[in-house]
Amino acid sequence: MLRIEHLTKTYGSKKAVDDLTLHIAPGEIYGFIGHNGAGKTTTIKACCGILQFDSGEIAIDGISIKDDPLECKRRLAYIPDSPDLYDFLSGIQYLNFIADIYIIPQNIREERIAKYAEMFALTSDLAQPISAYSHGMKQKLAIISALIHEPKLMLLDEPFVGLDPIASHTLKSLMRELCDRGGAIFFSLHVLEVVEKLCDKVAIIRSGKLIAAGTTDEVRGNASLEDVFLELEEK
Amino acid sequence: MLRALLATRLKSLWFSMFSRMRQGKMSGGKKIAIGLFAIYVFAAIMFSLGGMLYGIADAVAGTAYEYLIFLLAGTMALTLSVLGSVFTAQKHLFDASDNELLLSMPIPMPMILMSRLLMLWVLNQVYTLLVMIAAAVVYALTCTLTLVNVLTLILATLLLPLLALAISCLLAFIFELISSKMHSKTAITYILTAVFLAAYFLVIARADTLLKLLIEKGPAFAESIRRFFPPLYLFAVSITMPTFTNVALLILWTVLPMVLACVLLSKNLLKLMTTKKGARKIVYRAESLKTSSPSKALLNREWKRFFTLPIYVINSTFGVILEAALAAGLLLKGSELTSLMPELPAHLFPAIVTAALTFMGIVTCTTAASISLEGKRFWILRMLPVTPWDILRAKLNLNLLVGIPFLLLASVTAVFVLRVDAATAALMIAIPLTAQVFAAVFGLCANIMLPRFEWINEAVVIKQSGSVSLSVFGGMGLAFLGYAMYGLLLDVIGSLACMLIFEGVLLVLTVLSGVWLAAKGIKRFEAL
Repeated sequence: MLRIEHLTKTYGSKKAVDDLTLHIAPGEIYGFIGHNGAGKTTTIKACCGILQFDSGEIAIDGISIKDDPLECKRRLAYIPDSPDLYDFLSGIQYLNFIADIYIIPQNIREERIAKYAEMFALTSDLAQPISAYSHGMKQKLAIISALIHEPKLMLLDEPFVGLDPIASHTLKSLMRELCDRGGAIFFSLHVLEVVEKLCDKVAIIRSGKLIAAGTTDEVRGNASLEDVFLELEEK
Repeated sequence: MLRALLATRLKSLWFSMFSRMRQGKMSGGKKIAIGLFAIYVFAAIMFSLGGMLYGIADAVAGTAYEYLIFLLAGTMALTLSVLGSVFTAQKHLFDASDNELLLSMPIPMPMILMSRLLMLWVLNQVYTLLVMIAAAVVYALTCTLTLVNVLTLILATLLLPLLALAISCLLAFIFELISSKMHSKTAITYILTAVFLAAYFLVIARADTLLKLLIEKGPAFAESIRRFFPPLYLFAVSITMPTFTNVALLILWTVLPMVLACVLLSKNLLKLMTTKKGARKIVYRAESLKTSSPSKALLNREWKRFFTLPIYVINSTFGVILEAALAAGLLLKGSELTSLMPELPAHLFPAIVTAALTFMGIVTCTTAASISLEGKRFWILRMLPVTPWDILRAKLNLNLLVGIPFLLLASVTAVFVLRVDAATAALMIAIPLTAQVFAAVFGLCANIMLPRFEWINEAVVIKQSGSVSLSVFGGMGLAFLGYAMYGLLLDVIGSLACMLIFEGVLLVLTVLSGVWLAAKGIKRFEAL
């Protein structure tokens, strides 16, 4: 579903991502962990076409993001670490705008908005301007907007930040459902316990370089993921 | 602590103008070009203000009424400062996005207030200097300037912004107080802006009469000012007739209002900063959703953002308001104008109206701040399955939809009222229209070249960003070049040919801007 081959991205003289190769297959929840500034956000942004990269190749569902970015974007959804949304729109206006861009038929968009808004307990707030939303509400709205076109691949950057426990649980269930339907999820997270419980596979990145990747069981071995991560970081 | 806070705010102001230069992204050639452009803007303002002041200086030089030069300059500086800083004061004092961060830190409230007031004082000082440098040059050229005059001139120039700041703060406080009681902050801003603009137009419409009145009845006018608004009178006489009493009274009249404004703000700032505005909850009731095509959805998004930012509307629709006023004026007073036409050269009125409409079209520019306004939300547009051209086209279309209807209305009205021949009529419509398209395309190019995504509030990019200055002043420069060309070639090739050449120049520049946008602009936009 997502193929990253020899991805390299530099900022000035600093290599933010250095020759990174990762393959995420349909049905997989792939966790991406690393210290602050390791290159996680840069990698995720490059995968969704927000950031241009220096060399390498990224393909989504077999389509190169460089050659056909629009087709790739139609198949993926991205949720950033900080959900800065359009303050000048209400929640429903924002969702309708996103649905317009993805050309979702009226009855389907209404049905999906009703379903996901209900799941994230946001229905009654949809008429409010986004400027009146809390961080958690904005995060919920960003998640609903990402689900509205039923993407095949979800790229999430710290998706649980700001979510209440019920919303976190709902998101985890939805992530699993999407993968069970043949989709894939690639996401970064600092809470290693969640990564351990939720992810089929995990990759660890340090200073732009991939230092470990594989199934969660393979990577952690007999220890906890936290111990493995700390050990690898100290090397 | 105060120094650190002030430095942060000044850096933010500076960064809003020259972010790319600071990041080292700009080549030496571009820095020189920007420097030259800044000199051009400064010179253009100096000459226009100096011209007005020279008119009065010529009449009063060598008399006891030389102070009228500085009375007029002071009035202009005060008006410019208050109009230019009142909404900025409101944004920076009460609505700055770092308010909560600073309030959470162990910083005394007076420090936060002082840092913002000092930043606003610097801003007002810039406005004041623009007028006062011109006034000083005119005074030096027409009257005798002694060392004492120079010293009091410097002191008065430093003191006047304090008075302007006190007035701005008071108005900003009143605006904020009213808007905190109302549910729709946008509505109240529009109402207050309309009142402001009405007052502004009243003064502009009567500027000529007021200037004549000032020259003819200067002493009586000065006496009225002395009685009803002493600080301006003291400002003027402190410079031309510097006595201890005049200077001391000027200090008192400028410092005291500022002290009172500080007391008022320090007592209410925290409350106003932390008041949740218009927090009435609207409960969502599911209803049928309207669908649009992606391109229409992008355009609708631009419209919604445009109208929810009053400062954006005010800044970019100045020309539209003038166009509406011109159309109305022509309809109401057109017959008076046409009755004068037989006595004057036939080309005069069509040329003046075309020049005015060209200017109005050029200053109607929403695109110059449009990309910067995406700010931290730029990621949304970039992850959507739309092409960069779809995004840019929506921004261009907004500008054209805002600018063209009233421009066409005014041009067509002018054509009918002035009853010009077909060729002149076509050019009277085509030139302003081309100027409007040029302003939209060039504004977008300027914003792609000088984007600014990090800002504390929208006012920073709308009013102070490099791309806005470049497009507005660059466009105005082009219009003035056109007027100069018309003046030089009129007798040689005639009015129609001059207009045709200007239309040709505008067309070429519009096409060149469009080609740059399509070839390089889109790539640069993708890489932002």
